[in-house]
This record gives sequence, C-alpha cells and structure tokens, in this order.
Amino acid sequence: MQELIRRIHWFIRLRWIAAGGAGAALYVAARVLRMEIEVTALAAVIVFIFLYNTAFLFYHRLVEARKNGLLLARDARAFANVQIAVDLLSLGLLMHFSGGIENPFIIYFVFHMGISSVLLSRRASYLQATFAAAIVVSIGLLEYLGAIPHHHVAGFGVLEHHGSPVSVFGRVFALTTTLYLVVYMTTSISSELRRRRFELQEAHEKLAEQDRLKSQYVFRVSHDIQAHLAAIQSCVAPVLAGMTGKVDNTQRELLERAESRTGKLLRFVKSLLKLTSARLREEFEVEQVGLDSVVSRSVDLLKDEAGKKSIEIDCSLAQGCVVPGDESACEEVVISLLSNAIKYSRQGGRVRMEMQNSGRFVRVICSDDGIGLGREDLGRVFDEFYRSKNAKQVERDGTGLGLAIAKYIVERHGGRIWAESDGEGKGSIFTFELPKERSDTS
Amino acid sequence: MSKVLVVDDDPDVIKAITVVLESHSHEVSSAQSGEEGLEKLKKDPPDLLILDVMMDEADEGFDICRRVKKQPEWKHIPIMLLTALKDRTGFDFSKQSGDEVWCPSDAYLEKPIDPDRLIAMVDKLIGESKE
Repeated sequence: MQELIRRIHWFIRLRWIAAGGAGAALYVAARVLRMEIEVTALAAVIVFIFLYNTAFLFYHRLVEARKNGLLLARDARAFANVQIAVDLLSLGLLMHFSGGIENPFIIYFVFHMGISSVLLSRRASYLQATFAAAIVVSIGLLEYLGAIPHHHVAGFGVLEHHGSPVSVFGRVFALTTTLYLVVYMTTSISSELRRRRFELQEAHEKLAEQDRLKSQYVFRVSHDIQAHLAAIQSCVAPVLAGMTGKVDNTQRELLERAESRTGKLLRFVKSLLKLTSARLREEFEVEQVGLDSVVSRSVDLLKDEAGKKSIEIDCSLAQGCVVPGDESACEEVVISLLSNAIKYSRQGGRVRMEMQNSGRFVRVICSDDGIGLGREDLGRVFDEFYRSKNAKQVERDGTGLGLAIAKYIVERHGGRIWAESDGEGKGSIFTFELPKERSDTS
Repeated sequence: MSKVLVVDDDPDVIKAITVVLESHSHEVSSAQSGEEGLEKLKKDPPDLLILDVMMDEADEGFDICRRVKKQPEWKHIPIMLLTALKDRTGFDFSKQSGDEVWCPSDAYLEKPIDPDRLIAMVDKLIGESKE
C-alpha cells in the first residue's frame, strides 16, 4: 500500500518530465523546424497536462499528510487509474492534433501500459489497454472516414494517411495488439515478482517465529537446569563449610571439584538465560539513562576483581551522557566489557574506561593492554559461543556469550559495538556507541 | 534459639538451608507451598520467614510476602526472599519500589545458597527485629 503511494508519487514526477518534453518538442517543431502544426491546440493540451498534474500533486500531498493508511488501497488504485486514463486521453489529443496514427510518437501509448501493469491489477491493466486501444482505433478510423478532421503534418508521417486503407488498418492493428501484449508480458512478470516477494516475506516471518520458539525452548531448559544446579550447589556448600561435621582432605578436594564444575555450568546457564530472555523481550524499557553513572557504578563493582590482579582502572567520564534505554541492560554491556578487560589483562596491567559525548552518540571505550585479539578474532568475538584461542588459554571455561549478549543489547538500542586490536599480546579496545535520540530499533 | 520458617517448593533447597541453620542452633520448620507456609505461620509464628520467590505459581513468594506484611500481627516478622532472578537482564528489585508490585521484604539472597552469607543475614535480620 505504502509502495503504491510511493509509486504514484514517482508517476507524478515522471509526468512533469513528459509534459516538459512535449512542450520542448512542440517548440522545436514550430520554431526551429518551422513545421506546420496545430500549435495552439497542442499547447492547450500540454497546459492541460500541467494543470491536472498540479491537481494530482496536491491530492497526493493531502493523502501523505494524513498518512498511516487513511487512504484505502482501493482509493489509491482508483487514483492511479484516473491518472492513467487522463494521460491516455491527453496523449490521444496530442496525437490527433499532430498527425494521428501517422505520427511515430503514437507508440508512446505503450509506455502507459507498462506503468499501469506495475501500478494496477491485471484486470485494471487490461481495461486501460482497452481504453488506449479504443483511442487509437477511434483516431485511426474516424480520421480515415473523415468523421473528425485529420491534422496532417507534412513530411512527418511515416505513411500517408489517405493512401492505402491496408496500411491504416495494419498500423492500428499492430499498435492495438502491441498494447495488449505489453500488458500481458508486464503483468506476468510483475505478478511473478509480487508472488516471490510475498513468499520471501512469508519465509522470513516463519524463520523469525522459529527463532522465537527456539529461544523460548532454550530459556525454559536453561531455567530448569539452573534450578537443579542451584539446589546441587546449595547442598554441597554446607558440607564443604564443615557444617555437617569434619571433612577430610580427599573429601574436600572432590567436593571442591564438584562445586567448581557446577559453578561453571551455572554461570554458563545463567548467560544463556540472559541472552534468551533479552531475545524474547519484545521491547527494552526506555528511560533516560545516565551512562556516566552506569560506567562509574560498574567500575566500582569490579574494583575488587581488578584489585586481585593489581590492575588499575583508569576512568575518564564525560558529563551529560544521557541516552534513552534500559539502564540495567546498559550496565550489563559495560560490566561485560570491563570484566573481560580485567580477565584478559596480565597481573599489574592497565584498564581504561573512557567516555565521549560526540554529536548524536555517546561512546564508551574500554581498552586494556592484555592478551589482545588476532585478526581473524576481530570479526568473530561477538559471535555466540565464539572464544579466541588465547582467551581459552587464559580461561578454559568461559561461556563465549558475554560479548554476544552485549552486542545484542547495543543493537537493540540502535547502537554499534566493535573491537580493535593491534594483534595478539598487544591489548584490545572495545567501543560501543548509543544514540541520544530514540530510534525504532528498540 | 530462633525459629525460622522456610517456604520453598524445592525440598533439596529446604534441606540445605535446614542443615546450615540448624548447625547454628536455629530451629527450622518448612513448607513446600505458599498456602502451607501461611498455615504454619498461623499456628506458630516464626522469628524469620525465608521465602522462595518462584514457586509453582509465578511470583507466589511476592504474593505471600505482601500478605504477611499486611497482617498487623505478622508485619514485625522479617522476611528474606530467595531468588535466582537477581541478574541484570531479569528481574530488578530496585525497580519495584513505589508501585503495587513492590514486595516489602527485608532482604534477599541469591541461589545457590552461600552458607556463610545465609547465616550472617539470618542473624542480622533476627537481631534487628528483636531490638
């Protein structure tokens, strides 16, 4: 529907060019080539085209101002039908005053068949072809029979009108059949294209639905597994803490191994839950989020973690960095980047959090002098479950989901996230930017 | 010795909490549903109520929590909520204040249960309520 309205606008713009072209052709024929033609009548038709196109444009603007489908599809098609019919009539008049069917420009009727096949239904296109054929036949026959005057343009026609009736009928017949053939071919192609587009759209919707079902499934399974794992850990912990009596060294070691493994599994399941619950959310909350306070809170939260590795977090905040979005989701992103920077930095390394308030975006840059990223990792670090080789060496059991979650959240906020690194061992820079104005992506 | 009532639909979690609290000389009773919990509360009001947020009915824990805090004879009983939801993309407790969903609990503890944290919080809540 919106597409039909857009195309109608294109059609109106095209008409300015056509009318201008007709005017220029008239000027050249009358003034330059000094042909004997019906200048007044032809000029009147061209002025008529300009006038009705202005009216169409006003109507179109009126419809656009109302927007949101207030113009029914039926009305839009009727509007297109009227335009094509009036065009055919104008073209008929132009042809009649400039030689009738002997004017070679009479083939321009074919263009309108192409346009109507694209804009209108198959039936309406055939009706327009019939209307065009009726005009061509009327001009040919009525002028030939002398019912209406024939405005002969000397030296212009490809055939002499009153010569052979066979050539008159032949020309009318050829033109008429061409009109129908063009409609037949164009509507066949465009209906095939429409069908394919519909199929693609359907396939896309089906895939989106399957993806949603998959997320729902993963969410439910993860949720159940999480409950079981939490119960296992809750049962093991008091034993390890010696609350059920003395635990000897071998028992302690085995219990610690069990606790560590369930802990890792629990972290993995929690990450999966985060990702799937984010995916299943139709919309993120939209509030005014002060990113500077989100960043400083996250730095505070991870200070101890950094302290364990004697890592200093250098933090440079920018004031007034307010973005529309979900505060806890934004915090998730900052914490994910910062905890990665700490995790993959060496003992005594440096981590820097920087903010930039630039134009339409707020940018948060998290850089470190840690293990860095290889060239092939740069494009893949945000993939689900992807872990770079050197990251695996530092931490064997990471989930590979943290950055995927961060990317998902940033993109749902209409922002971008990317990674830079000069190579392995040369540190890395993770940057994300969020728009200050809300876009429709969230 | 203080009396603690644990309401959770997971018997393994109840057992773990019972072991931890009994090792610190608390008397523990338990219930596996909200309704059963309310019954026990009526018969023998505890010094502390530990409530799981997500039982068979979603948000059942919140509901029980609100009902307990509305009763004049029970509202002095401190409530600790157990949750696996304390993650940033999930349920955010801080956002619930000020509206109808707000659950006036006194503390919450994330699952899996950390025994030391549990003991510390239980002692603190009971201590405060007796002051």
